Amino acid sequence: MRYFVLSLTLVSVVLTTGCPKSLVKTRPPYNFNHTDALTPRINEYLANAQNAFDCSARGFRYQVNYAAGGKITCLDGLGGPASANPAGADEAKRIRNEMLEDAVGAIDGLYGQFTDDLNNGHSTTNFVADVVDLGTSAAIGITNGERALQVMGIALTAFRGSRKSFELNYFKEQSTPILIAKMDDNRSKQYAIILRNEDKPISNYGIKAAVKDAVDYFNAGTLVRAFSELSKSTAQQADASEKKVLKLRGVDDSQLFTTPEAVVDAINLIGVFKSHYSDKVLNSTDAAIKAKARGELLAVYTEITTGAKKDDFKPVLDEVRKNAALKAVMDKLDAGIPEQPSPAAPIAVTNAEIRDVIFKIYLTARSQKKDDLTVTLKDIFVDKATS
Amino acid sequence: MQPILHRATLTLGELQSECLAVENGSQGVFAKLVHLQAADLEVPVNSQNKFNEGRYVEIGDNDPIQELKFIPVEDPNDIPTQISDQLQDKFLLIFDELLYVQDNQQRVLGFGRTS
Repeated sequence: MRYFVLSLTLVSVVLTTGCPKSLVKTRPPYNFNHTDALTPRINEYLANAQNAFDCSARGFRYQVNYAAGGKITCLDGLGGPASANPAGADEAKRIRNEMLEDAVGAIDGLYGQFTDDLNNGHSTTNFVADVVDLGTSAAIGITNGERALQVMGIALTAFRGSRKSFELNYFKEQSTPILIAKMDDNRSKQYAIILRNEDKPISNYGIKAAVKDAVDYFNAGTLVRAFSELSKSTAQQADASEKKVLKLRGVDDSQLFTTPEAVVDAINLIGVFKSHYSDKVLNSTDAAIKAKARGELLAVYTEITTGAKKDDFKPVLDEVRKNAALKAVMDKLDAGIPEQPSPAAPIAVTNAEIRDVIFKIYLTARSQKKDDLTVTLKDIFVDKATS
Repeated sequence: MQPILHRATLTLGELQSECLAVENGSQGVFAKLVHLQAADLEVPVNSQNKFNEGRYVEIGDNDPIQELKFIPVEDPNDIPTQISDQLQDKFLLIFDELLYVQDNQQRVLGFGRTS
């Protein structure tokens, strides 16, 4: 049995407690958190994910026992009473992709902290040393009862020799921005691979390969990888020769970007307004700024719902109203609310709620490919929002 | 989000604008560009087989939109300087790839900044 060694060991899993002890067919627990008990928990999480994946892929349902660390019992007649799941392949794909996204999210969080430390000039040598130490100490066997599942062993072989002084010295000779940029580039490439693979059926992309991709994603954001890439002689020239054009198959016209140029411009102008109406502005301590933004948003909403194009917007508004929370806000707005509530009075509709409704109207129009309404909405913003 | 294919005939500015439009919700969700690369289709779509494949991830409705800046690479020796210069403005490298720009292959650095 190969051992499961993860550079993901900086990620840990805290299993949810307080839930019913046994639930049928829920997802494996995945509540990532930062604790000291790193490796066992990440391995436990991934082992559970793999059990659930395997069970679903074979067309059975499974149970999750939260009280026992999220242990999976496959209802295949061996681990528990047989319970077929006709949609097992879809469930397995969901588990696989969810595991990937959980891992990516956790890794992103750690990477953000790491680059912040780098930018702030904190010590980095510990990070490199940590990677190596974890790589050598994190090996843990997955022993699981019902089926002899093995989580793919992923060695950090490439990293074990990395605490060599020349590499640390090499780092010191590099500017931090260049190293971070290289790591960013490495990570984006690997993430693109993950996104592509997530589209694949489980027959072509199993959970072992997915775990490997997650590990590669973590490794892509390490200094060690940045060292190795940057230390290539004539790195730029080497890079140039490696640049390739993708070869794609199975593409359909739904993937083509067909939005006309004028609508693209309208969309990007609306994006400027979206950025402007940030929480910082809407909740500004400057009452005048806040009131101005509120007045503009109310004017935009009023023009959408009662202006010259109100009939065109109606199908979009009806769709937005299917969301109960947004409907409640819209009902209040439609009933008429004070332009600016007094400081003492409870706020019937917050500035952020008005903004959220407006931009949901916009997104709904876009999802319905309503190019004309998009341009109209841009015109309304330009007309009513003078900030 | 499924990948978005942008036309190979666009100028670099037009391509950047389209990518920003996707980020700004052209597909019905707000998104973030994570990768862009020239792509040849084995089977043409709309009689075209050259595109730029953009990879995006959906973001929350109130998350800030990433600003984009695409810079053509004329001399690879300038890349470290370009990256370093952009980092001074808090633009992080998103991709370093070949793209189709006005139907020609062009190496491009793509940067993003999220305030």
